[in-house]
This record gives sequence, C-alpha cells and structure tokens, in this order.
Amino acid sequence: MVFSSILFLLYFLPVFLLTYYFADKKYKNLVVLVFSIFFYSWGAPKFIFVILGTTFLDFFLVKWMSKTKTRLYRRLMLTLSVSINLGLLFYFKYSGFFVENVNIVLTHLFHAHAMGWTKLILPLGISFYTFETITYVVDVYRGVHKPLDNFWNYQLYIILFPKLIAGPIIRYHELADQITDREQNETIDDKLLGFYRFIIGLSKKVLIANQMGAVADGIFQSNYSELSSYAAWIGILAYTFQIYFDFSGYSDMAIGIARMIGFKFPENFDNPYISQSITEFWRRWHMSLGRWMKNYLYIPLGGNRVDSKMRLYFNLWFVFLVSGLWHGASWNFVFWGAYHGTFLALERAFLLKIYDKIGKLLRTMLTFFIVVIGWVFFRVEKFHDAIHFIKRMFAFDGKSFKLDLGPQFYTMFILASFFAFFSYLKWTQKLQATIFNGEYSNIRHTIAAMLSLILFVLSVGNIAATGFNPFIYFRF
Amino acid sequence: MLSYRKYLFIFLLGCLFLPLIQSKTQLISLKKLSGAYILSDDTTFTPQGWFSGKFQTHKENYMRDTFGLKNLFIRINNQLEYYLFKKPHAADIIAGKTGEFYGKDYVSAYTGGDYIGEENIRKRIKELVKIQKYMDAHHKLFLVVLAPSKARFNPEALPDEDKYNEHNNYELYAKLAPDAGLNVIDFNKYFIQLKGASKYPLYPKKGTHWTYFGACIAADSIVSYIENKKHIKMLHTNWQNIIPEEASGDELELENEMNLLFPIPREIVGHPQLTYTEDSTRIKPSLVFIGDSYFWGLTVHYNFWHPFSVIYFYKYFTNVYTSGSSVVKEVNDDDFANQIKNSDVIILESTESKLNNLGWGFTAAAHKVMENDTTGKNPTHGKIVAMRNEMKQKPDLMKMIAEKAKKNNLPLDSMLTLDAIWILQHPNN
Repeated sequence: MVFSSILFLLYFLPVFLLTYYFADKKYKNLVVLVFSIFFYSWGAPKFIFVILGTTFLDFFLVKWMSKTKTRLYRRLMLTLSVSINLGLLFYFKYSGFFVENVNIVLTHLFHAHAMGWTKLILPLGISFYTFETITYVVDVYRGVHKPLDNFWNYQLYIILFPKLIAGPIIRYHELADQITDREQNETIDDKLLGFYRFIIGLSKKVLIANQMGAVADGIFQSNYSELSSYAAWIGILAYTFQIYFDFSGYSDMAIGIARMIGFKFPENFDNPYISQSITEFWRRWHMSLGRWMKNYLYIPLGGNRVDSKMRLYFNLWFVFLVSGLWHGASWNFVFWGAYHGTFLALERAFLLKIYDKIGKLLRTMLTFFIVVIGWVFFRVEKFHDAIHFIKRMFAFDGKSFKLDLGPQFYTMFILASFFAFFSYLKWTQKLQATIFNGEYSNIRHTIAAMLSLILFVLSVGNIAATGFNPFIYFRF
Repeated sequence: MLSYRKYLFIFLLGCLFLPLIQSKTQLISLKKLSGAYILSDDTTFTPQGWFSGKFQTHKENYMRDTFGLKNLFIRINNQLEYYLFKKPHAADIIAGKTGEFYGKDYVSAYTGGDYIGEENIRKRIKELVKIQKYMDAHHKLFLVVLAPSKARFNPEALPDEDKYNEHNNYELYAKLAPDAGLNVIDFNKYFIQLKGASKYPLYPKKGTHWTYFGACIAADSIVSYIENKKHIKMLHTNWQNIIPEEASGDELELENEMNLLFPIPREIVGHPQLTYTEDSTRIKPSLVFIGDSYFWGLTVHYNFWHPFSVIYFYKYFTNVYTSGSSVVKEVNDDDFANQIKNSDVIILESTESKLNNLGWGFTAAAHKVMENDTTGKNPTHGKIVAMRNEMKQKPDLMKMIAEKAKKNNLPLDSMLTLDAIWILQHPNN
C-alpha cells in the first residue's frame, strides 16, 4: 500500500486518523500498532511474521544485553543481534547478487558449474527496517538511550507505518521518548501542519515526480543509439527531478502523517540540488541515511580521527560504496556510491579549495552537473549502457529523436526546476522555513487548508485519471 | 469550546471522508464516465488469497475503480489538463492545432504508421477482384466503399509532429483498386472535393466519424451508385430541410470520451431532416454490408435500412446485425453463404484506419462460398456415381425418374445420370 494510492488516501488514512483521535490516550499506541501491522501485511503478508519474529528476538537480546554488565556478553549480544538483522538483509537482498557474481567467477575462471539459486522477493522496506533495528541495539549498547520496557512499544518503533517502507531512517534515540509520551506534540497546530506537509508531499509525488517519471521512463527504455543529445538530457533531467520529488515527497508524507499523530520525524531532505559541493549534497540528500552511515559505519571505521589522510579518504569512499550497495544489489549502485565517494574524497583533498575561488553559482552548477551524471549510473543498470547514454548526452550530432512532450511536461519541468532550486536565495530559504515550521495565524491556516484541499483534489484526480503511480524508492 | 483551528482540522478530516461516504451511500448523483474502460471486480477474502497477495491486489484495483466521487475527480483532472494544456485525457485522441480532435488510429494511418506495403495491397485487391467477378457472374453488385478519414480530410490542423507519409494504405488502395477494375466509391476523395464548397461541415471538430450531414450525403451517393450500376430505381430520401444547429450526439463522441467537467463551445453543423415517400414501383434490393462503425452514421442519420429490403451488417465481420431484428449474431459460415447467395448488393466498407486489415476475414469467407458453390460446375464421375446410388435407394424418386425417362424417350439409366448431375449442380433446390 503506497501513500499515493486510492486505498491509502481515501480509505486507510481517514479511518486510521479517526480511530486514532477517538481512541483513549492509553490505546493510541495500540491503534497505531494495529494499523501499522495491517499496513505492512497488506503488502507483505508473509514477511510480517519474519519482522514480528526477529523484533521479538531482538527485543529480548537487547534487554538481556542492557542488564548484563559483562563486556564480553554485551558484545556477544550486540554481534548476535546485528548479525541476525544484517543476515536477513543479506539473505533477501544480496544473496542473489552474491551468487550471480560467484557464478561468473566459477564459470569463467574455473570452468566449474554454476551454483543454483532461487530468486527471492525483496520484502518491502527491508533496508529501512534493518537499519533501524541496528540503531536500537547499538544505541542501547552505547548507552545513548535505555531500551524500551515493553515489546509492543519496540514493535511500534520498528513497524510505525509512516516511515516503515521508505524512511526516513529514524535512529532509536530520536524516537524512543515519543513512543511513550508525545502529548506535547499533539497540538492542533501540529495536526494542521502535519496535514499540509502530507499534502505537499503527495503533490510532489503525484503532480511532479510522476509526470517527470513517465517521460524519463520512455527515454531510458528507448534504444540509446537512436537518442538525440536533447532527448538524453531531457531524460536524465526528468529523472533527476523525478527521484528528488518522488523520494522527498514520500518523506514529506511520512513526516506529515507522523506529525498528525504526535511524532516528530527528522527531516530527510533539505533542498539538495542547491548544494555547492558533493559534501554538502550529502548533508542535504537522504539526510537520515547520511546520519546513519556516519554514526554506525563511518565513526566505527575511525571517522576523521585516523592516522593518515589516505585512510580518511578510504573511509569516506568505503562508506559511500556501502551506501550505494544499500540502494540496490547491483553493480550500478556500487559504482554510483563509489562515484560519489570519490568526489567526496577529492573535495577533502583539494577540490573544495578550488571551489572557493569559482563563486556560488558556478559551484552549484558544477555540483548539480556531477549529481546529474551520477544519476545515469543510478538509473541505468548496466555499466556499458550508462556510458553509452552519457556519450549520447554529449554527442550533439544533430540526430533526431521523436519526443512526445507536450506543454504539460514542459510546465511541470519548469515547476520542478523552480521548486528544486527554490531556496537558493536567502529570502526564499526564509519563506520555506516559514511555510514548514513558522507560526500560523488563523488566516494563514485557512489559506493553507484551502490550498491543501485544492492540491488534494488535483492529486486524487491525477491518480484516478492516470493509474501511473509507482514509487521508485520501494526498490531499496 | 472548539477553537477555529479545531473546526478547520475537523473540516479537512471530513473532506477526506467524503469519497468514502459517497461510495457507501451514493448521496450525490454523478454523470457516468464515457469511453471504453474495464472496471475491476470485487473479491472475497480467503486466507490463501491474502497470503498470496492476490486478494490485496484485486481489492486495491476494485477500490481504485469504484471509489466515491471518482467520476468527479477524473472530470476535474481532465478539465484542467484540457484547459491548461489543451491535452485530451483519453488513450486514443490527438488534439489538433485549431480545436479539432482526431482519433489516434486515423492519424497513424495518415502518417503511414500502419502501412502494410504495396505487395500486400496488390494481393488483397486481386482477391477482391475475384470476388467481384464471381458476383458479376451471379448478377450481384460488389462494391468497395472507402469511407473518409478526418486526418486526411483535415490534415492542416494535425500537430506538427504528425507528418504526412506517402507510403500509406489508403492512397495505394484508392489508386490500385479502380485500376484493377474494382467498383469503388472513394469518399475521401469526394469529401475533399466538397470541402470548400459544402455549406455545412462534413466532419465535426469533436467527433471522429462524419457529421450527420456528411453521412446523409454519403448514403445518398451509395444509393445512386447502386441504381446506376444495377439499372434500377430505388427509394431516395426527401431532403426536407437542413437545420443549422450545434453539433450533438456522436458528432461530439471524442469530446465525450474526454470526460470533461464542462462542455467545449460547440460548432454549428447542418442536421438534415429527411423523409421517405413509399413507392411500390421502386426496387428494394437486399444488401450484405461488411464494414466498420461508419455504417451507423448511414443508418442512424439517413435510415439506410429503408431503401433496402433487408440488410445484413457484418461489423468487422464479427457480429451480424439484421434490419428489423434486435438480435445480434456472431458470424456463421452457413448463414453468410446463404445471405450472399440471396443478396443483390454486397458492400465492403472501410475507413482509412482499418484498411490495414480490410475485410477482417470477409475475403476468405467469400472465397470459401465461391469454392463451395457447385452451380454450373460439372460434377466429377465419382460424385455422379455416388448420387446415382443414393437416388436408387429412394423408390418414389426412381418411379418419378422412370416416368420422366419414358416421357423424354430416354433410357432409365441415362435419365438417372442426367438427374444426378442436375441435383449436384443445384444443391439448394
């Protein structure tokens, strides 16, 4: 069940909100838990039992770990819990990829028989869910936060439906206290602002990302040899906007729903395309993943406190390699991660000093260009196809390619560009902050509510009329 | 007391519930959506269905297709897309540059998208010529009608990217068919000739078929053509009046398919008022009409049933509509053979976008009828012997043959052979 489906928007969400608001305070968590289990079971009716089982195991392992004072046992429990969760992730997400590559080695180098393997269905949101279970055990191990007393509260942290299948990845200590008490977040302003935020996300997804996605798909599914440079650029720019508005739209919806029920989720995007370096880009893009990688991988690797610069660059590069692999079990994602990691290391080494001399606009344009080229590797599964696509982008050989783009696409493309770079200026940054987090008078609430309703009608109309509504990030 | 903001939130929440309330109560009566679409069926819960995920998929599709206020949401979306971007939200409509709409398949045909090649067209024409020769021999008129295409009639309003292609089915049929001796009425050519001169539009801006006026002109022309070819006088309509009024009915079929909230400003077209005067001296031939949806314009606006004693309309050679009957049958070889044998006129009609598959199976079926027709053919020796043996088994028949042989002064065996040949040559008598 995706947030931009009719089932969710017109059935699940209203019934859930009504039940939640009418429930007595002591049953509110139960309502969220039951609806979350139903939400997840709807899409993964068998895997729900795996989640319930592993969280049960995790909960008691962590509980045991927190009680014991013996360092060895604590480490053992930590290792066991992390191994179970990563093992699950590896089994479902990476085993096929692993076997496929081992088979290449076996058959090509050793002329041996290939290993047999049945392709597995990737359970919904496993990448997000696994990372959150790891934060729980690690945060408790590190003493950042004490474990939850009640299994069902832990279950709720893991399975909380707004963020379950596409993030943001919420670290345990960021949410722990809100599970047991979030009364101060349940004001009427929170509910209204949550509603507006949800509608903003829905509109980003339905009205912009889907329009961009339809065009990008058409171009990326074509024969690259026939592509004109113009078509290739349209394709990758449409995809650049699709992936941003799709994923950030989903995060907005998650943050919005959570806020309507008293949870304050961390932000996941902060206008990434206005970044002036790749380092900054990763502070603004999928921020919750960045924070996770920093806290649970980069720092354990030594972080910045390492003996040599080469080790520092390696750490950075390695973290991004893993980050790429997290996005999908395929070499193109690994390459994409390594590509970003390389730029990050280069920026640490010398690029940032050069950037300082070229001015803000050029820095932003250069960073955007690097990111756009990176998206080609992200979007195109095979490396040589990605190179072929990039060659077409820069061929400028006058080839003609029939693009069926109407004024609707160009309008939405301009709107997408406008909103993607909206906060480039200081005053637009302030305006955005006011919209998302500012104080609202009654008049402002009325205007926002009416605008939200209009956007809601447009989005539902669009969903009903097109039927084209896939979420990109559900693959990860 | 609730604050203003609480009321506002309750209002927003209430709005979220409206579609759910509408789906359960149908409180508001909404106009049905036009066009062809398939609605998903509801499903019942089973544990197997749940764990396989099939229940969820079906249920979600069903809810998507049937949610409350769906028609309104779709119309709002389509209206906005049309108002802002002049984009018709329908699978098979292309918006022209000056407010016209075109069926996508007609544009595809005009731009050569469905071109089947000269060799194929020559082969098909050859097969049709064979049919015509057979019909001529049996004093039946076989006629190919090329119905007009809006894209060809009005190409100047097509979007710039839809460019004319000289390799297209229509132009080759229109050239090669008359050259091969086929009887052809080319309404594309005729309509284009009339384009500037006609007082009323022959094609509607928001429809895909001819206007009522265009259909009546075409129907009258077909009747006149049959009269000339068969040297008969048929019933014609009396054109009482032509009322200039806003386009309506199927003159707006493409607009209707777009499912807008508000109608687009209507053009003025001519709606003929026609009557028939019965005249028993006029001949009403029987007609087998194999064609596409252009036939309905002839019947609805001209009452094409009237000048014929009977019409069998083979729609895409799949379903058969008979004049005076509401029963729609599927094509049946025996019925078809009988109807062909008993008909005076056979018309094969197609518009440009259907020429890539002209006949839809008619040609093969007609050839089968021709092959099975033994009338006038000499039966083989084996068939004669078999028929003689069969006749010998019937004493009454043999008695009649014996009397006939006596009367004609022929030996009984010779009379038996002659009668066997006659029966084989006239299987329907």
